[in-house]
Amino acid sequence: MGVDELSFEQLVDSHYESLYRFALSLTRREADALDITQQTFYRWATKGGQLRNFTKVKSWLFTTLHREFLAIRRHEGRYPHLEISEVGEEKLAPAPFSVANKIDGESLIQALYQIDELYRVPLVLFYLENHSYRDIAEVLDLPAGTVMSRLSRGKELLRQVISQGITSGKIVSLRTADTQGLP
Amino acid sequence: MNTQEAKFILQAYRPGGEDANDPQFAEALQQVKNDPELAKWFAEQTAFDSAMSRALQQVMPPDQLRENILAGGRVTSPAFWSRRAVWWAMAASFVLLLSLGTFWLNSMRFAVYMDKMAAASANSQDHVDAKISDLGQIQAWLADRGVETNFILPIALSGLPTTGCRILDWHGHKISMICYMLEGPRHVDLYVAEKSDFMFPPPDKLHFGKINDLITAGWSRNDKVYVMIGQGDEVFFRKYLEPENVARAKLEAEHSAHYGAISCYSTIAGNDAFVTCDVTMRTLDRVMGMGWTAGSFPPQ
Repeated sequence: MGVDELSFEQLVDSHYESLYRFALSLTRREADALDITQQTFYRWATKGGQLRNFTKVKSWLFTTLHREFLAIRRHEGRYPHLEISEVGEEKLAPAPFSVANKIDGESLIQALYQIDELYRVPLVLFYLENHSYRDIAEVLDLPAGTVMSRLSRGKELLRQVISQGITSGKIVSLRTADTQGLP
Repeated sequence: MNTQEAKFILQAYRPGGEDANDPQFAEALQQVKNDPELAKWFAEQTAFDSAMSRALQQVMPPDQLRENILAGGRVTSPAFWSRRAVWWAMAASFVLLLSLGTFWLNSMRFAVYMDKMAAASANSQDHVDAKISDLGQIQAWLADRGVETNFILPIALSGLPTTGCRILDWHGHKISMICYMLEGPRHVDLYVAEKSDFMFPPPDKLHFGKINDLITAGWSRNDKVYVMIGQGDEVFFRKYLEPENVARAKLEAEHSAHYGAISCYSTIAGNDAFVTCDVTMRTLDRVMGMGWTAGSFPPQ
């Protein structure tokens, strides 16, 4: 299928959920995530037709959404870049891998918010699963090695945050049924 | 690759196995098979990643998002779903450009140029910018005004007095006009332009036309385009415009008669001209003595 044959509805159905999750991880607010997701599809409606390679549609959408986010933050002073480096410096013991099974979507988002955006953005793209590290490098315009490095550090931070959340009782398992059968 | 390096690389390996064929991971994955400790870590890491991915998938957008996006798409200037409209617009633009281009080419056509020059010839008011009777002075006057004067006039015209000259504009290019009052008297203007001024300049060969009651003649020579417009007819124009070598051949024929030829006549083949003379042997001896050669007239 080429870009020409791709209907707008098909495009929305394929990507709007992932884009929303990515937007929510960036903006921290549902209203802003909705706004920025719609803005991304608006951009596609006005400029996406210039794209000739169907395989680049997903990358184009995520890149555009990320740029929209950066542009809004730059122009409106929204979404302050919070430094959460103290999480890493506290040297919390990483959560056991099994603990991860107790986390639900909302808790994960809350945990991700506590991670510096530098690591959070590639991490979310990675966990959306439809992005390889090469895709992430393209979306964020970073060298592949940098993406690997940030994924490694981001995962380490995420495990620490989850461990901290569980310790403080902030993270609870809401979907224990989903975790059955996992190692 | 040590274990730490393998872990670093495998952190970027997606838990669903989508990266299994990526050569970047090949060595690290191979090491997983050979290192039980690394294999244990990798299994846990993959499980952690899978759990995170599943948790993230639980985050669902509000119900209205999809409909809002689709509704927004309907009122947004469409891109790909109305590409046909874009192509129509592009096609229309192309046709417009083509029309403008054709119009421009037409306006640059030599026939249009002839019409413009004929109108200038028919205009008796301020017909010339400078009333000069000598061709040399005309060339100097034109040169002072930035006009190239390395044109070659027909030999029959080159020695005749002029009545003046003018510089005309043709799409930003300077055109020289030299005005003559030939026998009759008949008013004739000669226009000289650069060949590069025209998309389709006239051929070298002389060709005639008529615009209203004026005769036109056009030809190219070297890098110049010449047009003569005036009163008279084709025979009258030919008298002044035949190629230089033809005119010279005729002159030579006349000269030959002076040297005792019984009869001389010129023949024209394309742009080449020949003089053929019937002469007596005595006359032939005389002209051979002047450098002529039998069978090669006019003299080279």
